[in-house]
Amino acid sequence: MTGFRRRRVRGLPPAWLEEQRVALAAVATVNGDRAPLALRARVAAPSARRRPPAPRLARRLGALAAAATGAALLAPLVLIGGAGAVPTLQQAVALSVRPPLARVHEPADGALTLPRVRADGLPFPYWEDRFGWRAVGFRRDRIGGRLLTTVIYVRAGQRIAYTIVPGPPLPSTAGAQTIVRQGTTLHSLSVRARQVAIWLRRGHTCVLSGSGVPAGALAWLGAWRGGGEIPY
Amino acid sequence: VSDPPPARLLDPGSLGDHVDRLYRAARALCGSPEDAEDLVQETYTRILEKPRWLRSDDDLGYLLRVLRNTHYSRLRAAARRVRTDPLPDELDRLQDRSAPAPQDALDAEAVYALIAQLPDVFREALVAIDLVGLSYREAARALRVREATITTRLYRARQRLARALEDQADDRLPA
Repeated sequence: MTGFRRRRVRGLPPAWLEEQRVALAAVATVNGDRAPLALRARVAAPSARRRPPAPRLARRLGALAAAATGAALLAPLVLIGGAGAVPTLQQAVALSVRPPLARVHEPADGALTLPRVRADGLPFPYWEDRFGWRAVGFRRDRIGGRLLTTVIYVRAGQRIAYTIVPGPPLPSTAGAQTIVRQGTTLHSLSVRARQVAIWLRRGHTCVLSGSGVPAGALAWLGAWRGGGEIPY
Repeated sequence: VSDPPPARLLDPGSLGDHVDRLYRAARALCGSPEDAEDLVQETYTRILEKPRWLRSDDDLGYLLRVLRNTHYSRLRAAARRVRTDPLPDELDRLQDRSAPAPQDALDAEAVYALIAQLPDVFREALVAIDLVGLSYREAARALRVREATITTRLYRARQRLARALEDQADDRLPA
């Protein structure tokens, strides 16, 4: 504390000082609060991106080059688990309870896919008219170098989340039950009290999860191809 | 008059060191843990979008400024778009051995809620100094106000917080 500030504090009435102490004590109760593990993982920048400080002239030149190449020098999005890590099923399912960050739009009359929301070119199904599941929003998260897109659907107080994990299929999960519906092979299992169905669409892993929703219902939704309008 | 200090590149690899402090700041700004997580993640995303050149050693102050700007951008964006209803979370999180005990978490929740209700300028001063741990000078630079202003705002913020705590305690007393 500076001398000036210390003199000001000495001049305060004791009751006012007591208020300051009370507030500081209250704030101290949250000062041990740590970021959740999931957030820590998401913001953990890989050590590979550490770069030693450059000399001043090089820094100036570097700034010009950086301005030209923009985001190409650094990862444009926050990574979970580093660039080389593969997303896990648990991470994908964990996204399903996160809030949607953007709204989805109603499709044009008769369309069976949601407009504007795609994951590596794959659209998400529009289920509201057929099954009553209304898409309320979506979010995007980058995990292990892959951009996961999750659409949240609700119906009668229940909520399910449909995540598409682009890229090579996620590692197979032990203990899953295999179901074949309408020509699609799905794997059904429970992850932390949530029922989960996993299947592939054009080689990309799709994860549909919900709490209190029967495995059969998830499998049925996951396998529904909308008469061929939903690409598989 | 001395030359301004040379610019240096913000090291992305060191950003993870500040996540706890930024998370606490975000909790105090947002009031909700879910929004705080999203705010911190978006802040890091923004920062990593392009190389950042700083003229001081104060990484944390810079991060706090970006966090605060991101927070207000999100509020403006949220006001413009239709809000989706928050839905109940039923998924257990990974076990976090560093997580506080339930009673501590409840206490922290109450304190965060009270801080989140402070007027913006007071809350920002308290977040910068008492939660993030910046010096008065660093906080003044991060919030782009004079140091004397920070001093006054911090005093008022603590005063309001103490009185809010007292009111809350009175409410809990049996009639």
